Amino acid sequence: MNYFRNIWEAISSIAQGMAVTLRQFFTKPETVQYPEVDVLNPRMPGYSGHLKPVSERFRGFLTVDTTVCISCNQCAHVCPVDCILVESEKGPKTTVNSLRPDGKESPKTRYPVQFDIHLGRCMYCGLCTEVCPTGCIHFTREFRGAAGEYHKLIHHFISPEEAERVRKLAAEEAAKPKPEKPVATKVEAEKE
Amino acid sequence: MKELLDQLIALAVEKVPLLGQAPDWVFYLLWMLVAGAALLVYASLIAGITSWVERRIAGRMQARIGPNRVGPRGFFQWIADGLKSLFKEDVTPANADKPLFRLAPYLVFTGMFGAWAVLPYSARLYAADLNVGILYVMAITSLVVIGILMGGWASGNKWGLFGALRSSAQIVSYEVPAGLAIATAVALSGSLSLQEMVRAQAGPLGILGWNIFKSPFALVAFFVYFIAAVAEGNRTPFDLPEAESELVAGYNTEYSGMRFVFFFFAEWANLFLIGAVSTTLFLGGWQGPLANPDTWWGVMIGAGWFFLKACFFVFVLIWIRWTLPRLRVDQLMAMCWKYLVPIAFVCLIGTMLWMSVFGDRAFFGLVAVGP
Repeated sequence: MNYFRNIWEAISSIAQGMAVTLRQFFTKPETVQYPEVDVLNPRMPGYSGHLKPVSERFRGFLTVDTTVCISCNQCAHVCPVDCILVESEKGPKTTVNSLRPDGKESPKTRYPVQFDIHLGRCMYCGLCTEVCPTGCIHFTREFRGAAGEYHKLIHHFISPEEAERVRKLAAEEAAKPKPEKPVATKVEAEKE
Repeated sequence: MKELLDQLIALAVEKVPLLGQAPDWVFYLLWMLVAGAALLVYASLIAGITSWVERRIAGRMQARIGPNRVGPRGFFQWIADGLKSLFKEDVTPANADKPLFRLAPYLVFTGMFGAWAVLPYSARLYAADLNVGILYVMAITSLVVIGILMGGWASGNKWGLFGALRSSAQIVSYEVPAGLAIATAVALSGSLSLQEMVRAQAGPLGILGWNIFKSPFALVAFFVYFIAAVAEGNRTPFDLPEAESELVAGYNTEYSGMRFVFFFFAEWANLFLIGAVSTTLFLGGWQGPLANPDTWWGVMIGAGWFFLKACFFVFVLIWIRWTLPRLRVDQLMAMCWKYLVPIAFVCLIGTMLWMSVFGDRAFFGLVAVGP
């Protein structure tokens, strides 16, 4: 009796297995043909499997909007792996609007002349983006950053020309006569 | 084929009287060369395209895409692979038995390709119609096991030898149920010639005369033959001779370059061969709706049916390969000797009894059909 049960089990289990593979055969492949399919596009044109595109909140490379940056240096302080380097110069006082949805105003007196992020070290913890008062440092969804040399992983966000311009501005500001200061304190005193 | 050839010769001699002085054997030799070359091209195309089809199907069954870079949907992948292998270094190991090592792939190839000569592609489309056709197929495909054993032994490699030994044990064992199942079909058709066997399967719609419908035992014999043929072809789930996880690559571990391609050519050509022989024996060969051996378009439709049926088997073989896991050696032997051989005997004897009761032209023994 065992003999016939063996035969029956062989036939039925083979049929089951073959049904599974046949069903697979008629479903669309899951493979994403990566460079051809735009995985950043939410619809992923040309792809019909079940895999999802890159998430909206995906932590890609860090980027900085240096016009909004107030050079508070908090990001560099909080970074656990020291991948951020900020150098700044004192310049004319202005205000900037936060890039966060609330758009809060912050005073800006310091201008960055060097803002480097070492992506070879960055561990995408996101602490810098949380402490940033203006939201100027934030994640992008970009993940394609292969580099042939190690130093190319250090992203420089301020060009030498821009740094030169800011330095000149700062020098002009420093060269201005001091009377402005009492004015500023007066204004504050008046407020009080 | 010979009548056609004689007509052609007569025509040629009539047009060019000078040819009349040439002896007959010159024409026959020429004809053999042409037919052989045509078959070789056909077999190569089938084997090559099958390699691409197999990889595409395997991909789809595993939710992948498969090769899709060379040509439309990767269709020319097999040409790229073949060219790559052609240009690769053909290494002969230092401690190999060199003449045998070099000879083995050609034996495997010859054994597989020789069988193509007698396949009944259609009513009047075949290279040779031997009166012992199916016996010839069994005999010449046995060359494969000699080639495999020779290659495995001559490699001077333990994996090669293990693979070769397993292969010979497997093929020798499975010849028995395969032979018995073939005997069932032979008994039903009353001939060993493949053409005659197909002609004996004529019936209503071109379908109901097939051997598998002639008796329930023949239906079982068909499955026995199919399983045994898969095992003889060293296909998964019976691919113990080249079990990657145990034996590196089995008997072809030491082969590279063109010789390796010969082994693989034989493997893929064998897929179509299994399909073609199963079709001929049990599924009516070129018999099918509208197939007619007397008109040229009927012959062409018959060729289409034969090709379709064989391709269906190729698909089933690939499908099985990517579904089932490999058997253990003892399971393999137990399956052959404990299950297939007794079942094949029952089928043979059962078919004989069935035929003596109902006659050999009966559809399930109940409806009398045939000319």
